[in-house]
Amino acid sequence: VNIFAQRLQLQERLTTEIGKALQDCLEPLGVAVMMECRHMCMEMRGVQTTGASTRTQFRCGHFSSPRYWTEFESAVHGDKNSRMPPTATPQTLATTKSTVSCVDPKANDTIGELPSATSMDTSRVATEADNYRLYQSCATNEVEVMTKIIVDFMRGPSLGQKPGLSVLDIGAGNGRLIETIGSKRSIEAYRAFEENGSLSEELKQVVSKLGLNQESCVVLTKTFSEETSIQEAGGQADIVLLSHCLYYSSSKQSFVHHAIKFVAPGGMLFIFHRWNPGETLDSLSSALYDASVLHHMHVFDVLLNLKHLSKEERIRVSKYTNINLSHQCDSTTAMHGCLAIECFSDDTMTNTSISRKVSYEARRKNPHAIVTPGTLTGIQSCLRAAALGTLGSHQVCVVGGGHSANCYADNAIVIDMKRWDHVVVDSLTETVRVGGGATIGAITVECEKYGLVVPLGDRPSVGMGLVLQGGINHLMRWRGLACDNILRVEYVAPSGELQVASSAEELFRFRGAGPSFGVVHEITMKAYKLGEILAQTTDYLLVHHVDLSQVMLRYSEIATNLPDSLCLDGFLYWPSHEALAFATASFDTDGENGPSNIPGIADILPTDFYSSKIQDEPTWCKLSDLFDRELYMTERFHLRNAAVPGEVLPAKLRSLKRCLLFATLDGACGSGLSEIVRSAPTKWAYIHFLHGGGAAGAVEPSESAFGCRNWAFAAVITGRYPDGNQALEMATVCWLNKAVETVMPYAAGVYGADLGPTDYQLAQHAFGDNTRRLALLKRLHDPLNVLSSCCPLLTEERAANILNPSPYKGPRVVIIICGRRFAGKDWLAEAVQKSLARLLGKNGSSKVSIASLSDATKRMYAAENPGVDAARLIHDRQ
Amino acid sequence: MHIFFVPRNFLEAKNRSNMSDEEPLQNNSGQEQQETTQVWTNAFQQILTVVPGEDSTREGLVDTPRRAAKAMATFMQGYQQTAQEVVGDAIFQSDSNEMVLVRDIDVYSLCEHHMIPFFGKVHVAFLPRNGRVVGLSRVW
Repeated sequence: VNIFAQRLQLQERLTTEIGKALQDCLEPLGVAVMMECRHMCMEMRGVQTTGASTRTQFRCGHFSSPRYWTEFESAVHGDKNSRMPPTATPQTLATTKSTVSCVDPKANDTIGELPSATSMDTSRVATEADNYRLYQSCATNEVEVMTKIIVDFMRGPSLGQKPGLSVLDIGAGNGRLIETIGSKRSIEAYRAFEENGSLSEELKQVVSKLGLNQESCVVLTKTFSEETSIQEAGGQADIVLLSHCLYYSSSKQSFVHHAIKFVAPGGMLFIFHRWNPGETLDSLSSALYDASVLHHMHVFDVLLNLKHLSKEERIRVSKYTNINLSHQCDSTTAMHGCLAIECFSDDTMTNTSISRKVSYEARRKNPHAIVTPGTLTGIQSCLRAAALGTLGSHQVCVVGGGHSANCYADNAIVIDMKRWDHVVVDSLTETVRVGGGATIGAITVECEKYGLVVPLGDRPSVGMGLVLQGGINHLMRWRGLACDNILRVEYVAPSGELQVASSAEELFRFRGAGPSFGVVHEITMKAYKLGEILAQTTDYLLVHHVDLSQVMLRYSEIATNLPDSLCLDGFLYWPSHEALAFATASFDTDGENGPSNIPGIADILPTDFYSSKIQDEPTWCKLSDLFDRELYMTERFHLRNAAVPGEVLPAKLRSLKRCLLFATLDGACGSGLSEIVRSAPTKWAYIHFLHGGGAAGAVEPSESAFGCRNWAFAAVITGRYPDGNQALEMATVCWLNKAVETVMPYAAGVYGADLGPTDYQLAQHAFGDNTRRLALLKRLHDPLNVLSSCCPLLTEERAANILNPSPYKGPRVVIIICGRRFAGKDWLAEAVQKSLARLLGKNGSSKVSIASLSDATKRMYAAENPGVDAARLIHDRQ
Repeated sequence: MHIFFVPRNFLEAKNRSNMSDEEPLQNNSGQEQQETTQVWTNAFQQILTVVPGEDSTREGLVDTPRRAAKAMATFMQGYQQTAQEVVGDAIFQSDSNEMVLVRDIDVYSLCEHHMIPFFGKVHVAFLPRNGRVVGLSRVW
């Protein structure tokens, strides 16, 4: 201090120099200097009252944040008696700016020359606590909204079951929040951290009225930091509140991570945070990837009522909240976010949902946040956050069964629906209500208990996304596609609204393009009485010289003529590395007459077509048994069969699929398909033909978004390659694209469920004649294209236009000139045009044009268009 | 948080001793120092002669220019020092990163506009980085 004091000085400069010297020598995290001096040059000359003092400050580093500065200030003034100069009274401390320096009061321009690092403040510094209270007085609805969110959860399924709730309040403030919560629901224990002495005193007062006993109610006047131990906080709590205490933390992520440790199993952590302009919760959401933590997001606006504030108070609120407040406005809103995090103990997790794996392709993507909402408000918040763009991109992906390669997307918000996996069967009305996260397996098993079936696909782990996009299955010839059996859909619209679709018009888009229109949380489906299915599999090992198109034709002919109760699937595959095989799998839903009711299947191929044949005995089985009995799940499809002798088998195969729809498999189509299997890069490739038509083909294309109905076979072209073999992976991708190109001319359509957001070309064929209608609906219901991770409904250009809107081309300013007839509107318009053109002509880019509906215009129009009655056009104002 | 309270009387004693006119000047070569003091002395001598109604040769004022010059030299001795020199190697490693506050340091200086004193208290705080703290006596 003396090095700089023993020079000719200004108080401001002296303050700064001391601060900077410390900063240079120590390179600390922050420096604060506060100086209060009496100036003899003023006092002795009588310019200033004796005893007045001038205060100057310097702060840098951490002290720039109010939290540390307040700590410093309260430490400095902790002992009021030591305040200097001794004669100074609080009133005289509030000196005016003119006393800042010793120059003439009128020439106080030295303030402008101060180094920017110096924070000059000659008035009494309002403390952080004062600002907090001032902010509270404006934020009229804040505590109310926060309380509502918390109390809702306290009554919810996880917290509601606990007998007495303990609360740990970090950064508790003056206790207005806990006071309101306490009035709504009783609390058993309360512990709080509040570093600000003045606020914690107030908090103690408030808490004493909550009616808790002494031991269970502790208010600690200290800072909660990452060093705080659980013992210090008195153990874990059911509810941990982090309300507005993240602003001063250097690493919000690790702070939140630490706070989660204080949550008892089954409890919740609530984070309330004010969103500053441009700020996102980036770091926070990535802190919450932990699988045992499920979180909900809330976005809400807090109304700031500024009417009663003075100009100086507005500035303080503005600084405190970091929100720009205009001097004119009486109220404004501040966007707040709440993350409600449920911390599950491990056993609850396994009870609430089946562990499921997200597809390999999806896992290679890098989403912004994976949210597992347990409430509708959670889903709504995600969609709203996506619409606002406050979290990651504007994209939301939904994980149902996790089978789709597109259930994750880079930088998107992923909503995992695994907590919505309820299946409720109503045997009386023969309907089943299923959650948006239920799997086909769970539904099938549950329905079987009542002797019912729902026409669903054949992979048990597939989710509702497939049902909403079609749902090709073994029962489709009998009862239609899965989507045809949807009776009612409850969903959260991309706007965040809760909606229900139950009329045919509303259900149109959910029968085939559902994932593009909402996050579906419940579907009601029709179920049918069905005992068991008669199933039989036959393999024919094909002779080398056989023309495969003949095999296709033969299969196509037989299958097409079967009754609707019977479906005959086909497989073209490599049972060994040197020969192809064609296998059939028949499923009879109406097998009351026994095995003989499966006609002609044994004769599907003439004997000279195949060298050997393996035929299984027909067996009765439940739909759920078929999950494991599908041909490609059996030993016959084992990859060791197709391997060259001596080849080292890959530990794991990955597969790529495309599903095309065909009316028949004859001629060029059949030979094209068989060539595909022959030319595959690995002999693990196969085509699975699902036998359609029947009820699935009977639906009018305009009744459902799934507009391709005139097909009898769905050919799933599957390429398989060893996991990790990038060369074979690339080869498989190329082969599949080529294959689709080859047979596309013969196809009736494409199955949209397999398509991803960038498959614009193929998507044109997915919806038949409904493409245009769906594009219009998409633009109406999801204008921001939030739900864009499934089969695209919009064209590539339009989707790109939503991401980067093209500049507006219409007029910027419209001047309307109105008046009675003959008032001279056209004349005025021309005059305005001329003078504006002269004014705007300088920059060249602006154009002024007239759009007139005057009599003259009408006469011209009538003259140009014979048949238009000019007189009527002018006079008939109706 | 650690707050280091500095005994006030100790500080005052230290400041007084700094200001004492018997205190030899430091960090200044003898030659230079003598020249400067002589200029100051002459200047004060001149000032005294023009103070209206004062006899600059009366007993009490005879030595005043020399004493004033010496005092001024003390008040200005900050120019010969830098913070780095004063702190020197008095930077220590502490195992705490808590705020270090030195409160109520007396400060006396001359205002550059009038060369008339201003004085008061200064409070200095810093947040150590990696436990680097300065010897507290070096702050004032």
